[in-house]
Amino acid sequence: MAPAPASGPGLATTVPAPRRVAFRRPGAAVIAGVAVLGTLVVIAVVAPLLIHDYVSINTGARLLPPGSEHWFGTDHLGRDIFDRTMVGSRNSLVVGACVALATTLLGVLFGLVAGYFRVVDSVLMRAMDGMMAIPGVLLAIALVSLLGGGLWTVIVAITVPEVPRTARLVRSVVLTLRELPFVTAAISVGTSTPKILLTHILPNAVGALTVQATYVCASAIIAEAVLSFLGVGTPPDIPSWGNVMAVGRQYFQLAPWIIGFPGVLLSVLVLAINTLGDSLRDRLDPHLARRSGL
Amino acid sequence: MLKYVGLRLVAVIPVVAFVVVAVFLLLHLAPGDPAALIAGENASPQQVALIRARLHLDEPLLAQFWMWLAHLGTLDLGNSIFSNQPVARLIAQRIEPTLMLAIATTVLTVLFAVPAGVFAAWKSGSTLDRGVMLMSVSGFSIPVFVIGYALIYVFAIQLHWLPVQGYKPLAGGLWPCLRSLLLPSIALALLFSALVARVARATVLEILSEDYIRTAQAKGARTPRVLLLHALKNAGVPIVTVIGLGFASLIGGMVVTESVFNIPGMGRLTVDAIMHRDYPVVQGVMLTFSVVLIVVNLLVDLSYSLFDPRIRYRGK
Amino acid sequence: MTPARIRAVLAAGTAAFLVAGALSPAMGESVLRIKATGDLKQIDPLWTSSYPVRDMAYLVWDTLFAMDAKFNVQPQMVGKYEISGDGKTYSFTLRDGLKWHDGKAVSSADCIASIERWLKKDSLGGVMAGYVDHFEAVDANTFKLVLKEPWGLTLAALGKISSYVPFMMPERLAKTPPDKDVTEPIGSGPFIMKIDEWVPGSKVVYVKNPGYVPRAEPASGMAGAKIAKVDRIERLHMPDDLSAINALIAGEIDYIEDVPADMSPLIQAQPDLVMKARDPLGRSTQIVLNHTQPPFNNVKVRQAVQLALSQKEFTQALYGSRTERFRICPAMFFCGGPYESDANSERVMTLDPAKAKALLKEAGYDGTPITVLHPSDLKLQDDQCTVLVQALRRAGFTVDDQIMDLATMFSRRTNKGTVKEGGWHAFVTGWGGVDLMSPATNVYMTGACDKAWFGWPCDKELQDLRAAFFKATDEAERKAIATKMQARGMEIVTYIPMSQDFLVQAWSKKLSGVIDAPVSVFWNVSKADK
Repeated sequence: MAPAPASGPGLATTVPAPRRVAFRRPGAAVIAGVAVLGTLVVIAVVAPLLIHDYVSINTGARLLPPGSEHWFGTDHLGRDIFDRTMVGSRNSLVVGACVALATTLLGVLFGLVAGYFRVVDSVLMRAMDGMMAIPGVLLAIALVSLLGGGLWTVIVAITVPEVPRTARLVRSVVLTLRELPFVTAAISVGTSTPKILLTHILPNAVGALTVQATYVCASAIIAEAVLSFLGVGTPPDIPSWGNVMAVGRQYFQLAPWIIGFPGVLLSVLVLAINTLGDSLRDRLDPHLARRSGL
Repeated sequence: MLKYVGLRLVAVIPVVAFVVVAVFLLLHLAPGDPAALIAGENASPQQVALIRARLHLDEPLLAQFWMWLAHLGTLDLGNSIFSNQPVARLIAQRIEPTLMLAIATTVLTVLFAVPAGVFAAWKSGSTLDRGVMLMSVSGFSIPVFVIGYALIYVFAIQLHWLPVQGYKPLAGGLWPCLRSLLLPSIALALLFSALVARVARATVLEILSEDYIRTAQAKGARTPRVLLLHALKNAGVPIVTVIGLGFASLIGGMVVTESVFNIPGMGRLTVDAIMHRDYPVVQGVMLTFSVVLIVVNLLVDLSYSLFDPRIRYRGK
Repeated sequence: MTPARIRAVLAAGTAAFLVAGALSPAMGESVLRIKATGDLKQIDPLWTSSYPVRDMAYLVWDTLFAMDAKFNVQPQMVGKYEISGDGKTYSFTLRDGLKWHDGKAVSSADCIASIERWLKKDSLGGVMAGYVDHFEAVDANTFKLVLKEPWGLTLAALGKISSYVPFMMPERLAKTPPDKDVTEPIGSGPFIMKIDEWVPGSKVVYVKNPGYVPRAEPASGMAGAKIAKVDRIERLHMPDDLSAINALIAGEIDYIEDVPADMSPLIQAQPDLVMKARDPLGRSTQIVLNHTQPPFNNVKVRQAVQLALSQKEFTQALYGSRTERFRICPAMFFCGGPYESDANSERVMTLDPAKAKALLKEAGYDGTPITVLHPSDLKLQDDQCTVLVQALRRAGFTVDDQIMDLATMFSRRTNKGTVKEGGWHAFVTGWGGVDLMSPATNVYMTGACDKAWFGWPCDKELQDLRAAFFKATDEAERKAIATKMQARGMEIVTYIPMSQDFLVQAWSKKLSGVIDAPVSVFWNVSKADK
């Protein structure tokens, strides 16, 4: 009763090779990507150690444009945007990385199980459909009351509605691969199921998963901004690119620097992660991964 | 095929049940008392208590759930506890703007992202390719409200070409309606295109290297024809998957766009109801959402066979 | 026919088959499009204290008496009235030609039922109920209110403009039990609410009431002639402030009730727009402390909070240097109101964190965290709480800054328990001047313990003073009692007044006749074509 897409065109003729990593010289884009990501990670680690006062309001210094005193300007309560953005990079990276990681792990687990075991497939996928329908905002409000507002609440609230997408992706890869000769051959020689899943099937999904994870990571950082705006994000004591941007929303025409600086950093981060993701995928290059898209 | 559709539709029931129970529990787990909100900022504790009693909020959770289910049994979603308007009416009022926005966004995305992805794949490695990929990355790294404000500032405030905000219903004519939707759908399409263009590019790139395409080219088929007929047709499955999944998340994630452009759609209705703990509205909306989502997923699965006739569905 | 005309006809034809929400106004109608603060979530003005509901109710329902621009009570629906020599019998005769929106004439029975419902719903009504002996319908247009003993505030109460206004409704609606809300907007006011065009959360539509008979006097405050000068009012709920301002600039809406302080430069840059502060009283911000929970059950700790905060700092954080936006004010009954006073306000008016620390030490404050309810979905309250938390920390308090949404905050503040049980220590809120300017309606000044407003201050002296205020027969005596109440209130810290601010409205120069009052109403407003 589950949809059983037959193998796609071309797949019948070309058998994807198992994982094979060949050394190629990294291109300029990859080097740039590593450099940017590295710098941001260093900032995220170091900034909170150097900048101690990022919560103090200073009513005499409201909405100052960027200058020598405040490099990135100040917000409507006179808080320094540079300090908040730098310290915020840690929280944003934590949110992005944790959501991406959790989504991928859970998605892979559910996707593999659903794709390989026919019995649980329909039940699991329908449950995924249901999970997708639960709004993150509602989840966040409920969690704030249970756990208190903070980084972890935000991470869980963003992760839950994201998991089904990754699960569907992994499942579609599994469904297609399961019928292919190299997998059926492995089954016929008596390879155990977990081993087939982990050594033959999963590596072929890595490319697609990487792209998906980058997407999840970026959208998590933005989703955090939306939650902040609705009053269920991180408190002002815990600055993040998301809540700095949420504050700057109203000042878009009058004080664009509030939204601008964290926004630019976010774009740069996403670009770097993407570049790395693409090159990683090219290296792993399992034939199928590209097809499954995302 | 029909049997398959039938079975899938039957399978809807447990999913919807799961969503309804989960949403009900989450709603009541969340603190926040609609009675206090109805009574307002300056109400006295006594007035709040009166409203609580009136709304049966003091009764046990199970009893409240049962009351709602009993109503649902008679196909009645109940009334909003704020406006007293039937939930079905509230949803009916809001569905058109959201649907139109979703359709406009999807159309714009397909018109822009699919060709962009195909061209990027065709000219893979070129400046054009990099340009498309760069755009697609920026598309989802800029928050949609920033894109929205920027569009409003340029096209509505400076150039006066399009309205700042609002939605003109279809009943008032197609053109005014489309005009009011142009900016919001561009804002959303930029976000959405990011994904679709990437998938389109990756898929077409893959197919272009297949034997049968090379065969077709060897037989003298000109490139655009090859791209269109063979590649795109075969790339259909993953592209449709992404668009389908995206459509679902679009409906869920339109709140910000609807707020910035002041469109009275479902996204705002949902978040507003959640923020105000308007229990019957949230439950009714979630019920509708989950049904729509499941139908979209079903349509996506069915459309696979349209693109790839080898994919057939069978009921067990 | 012009193409526009054809389109309009076609649209009208199609509209008949579609949901009512899709109806568009007919050609040639004057339409006033307004963006007011908050959404109209309900209809019944006696079911909620919400200002949007009250404001819009003034369009639909009329009142027997009303306050003019100088806060004097004037007859409105009442044509003639007499007060008997002993001050116990009020005789009211309705004006001729008053009709409900459903066409029936307004009668004495309607008015009596309406007042009776209000007596049960409003707290000032509750006070008045203690004086009322009975009502008596003399004929269809005349009725009597007989009191047990004279009460000087009778007419002022019937003309009150703070929340829970005694609006007149048809008897069948006024008979709605006090524990149910009225769901039909049938009144006798100058506008008719089109309930079939209502899209909660987005749009409310009012049309001119062709049968309304206005008074002869010019419009003043809520009194005088209420003439509908536009055919249709569309009240739009626009959740995004920046978009609303841009819509005003682009001419898509005509009026904004509340321009956020930092956005005023955008409006000032437009020659076609007017920006003006509304009513001289404005609103005020209050810090509310929970008197039942330690450490705030200790008066010294509460007084330390007075010393820890500064109105200047608060206003500067919120309004910067825009001094036209706010007023530093030591009064608990509002600056600009009849009972303004600065009695016992030294602590509130001085910022002295060192002294606050000393006071905390003296009180034996042990560092118990102060739980601040911090709603972050409304920008103004979010910012106020951020300032509050920092000021408290500076004065030596340990603060637990609890981020939540408004719905959670509203329900948590009703919790009288300990913090562990979901209770709280402090929150920030705001009231309009018309509510706080009198001991009769200022909820903070009852001292009524369990029956008091959130925070539950419990004080016999305050209770006695308030009772004396109601009994007082002349204004000078009331004023003296009010001053004593303020001195006592400041001593036990019933609340901390945190400056007044003014709602700044903006509208298109096409509009004229916008009424300056504490309530935003739209009769008397006309709109030019160009």
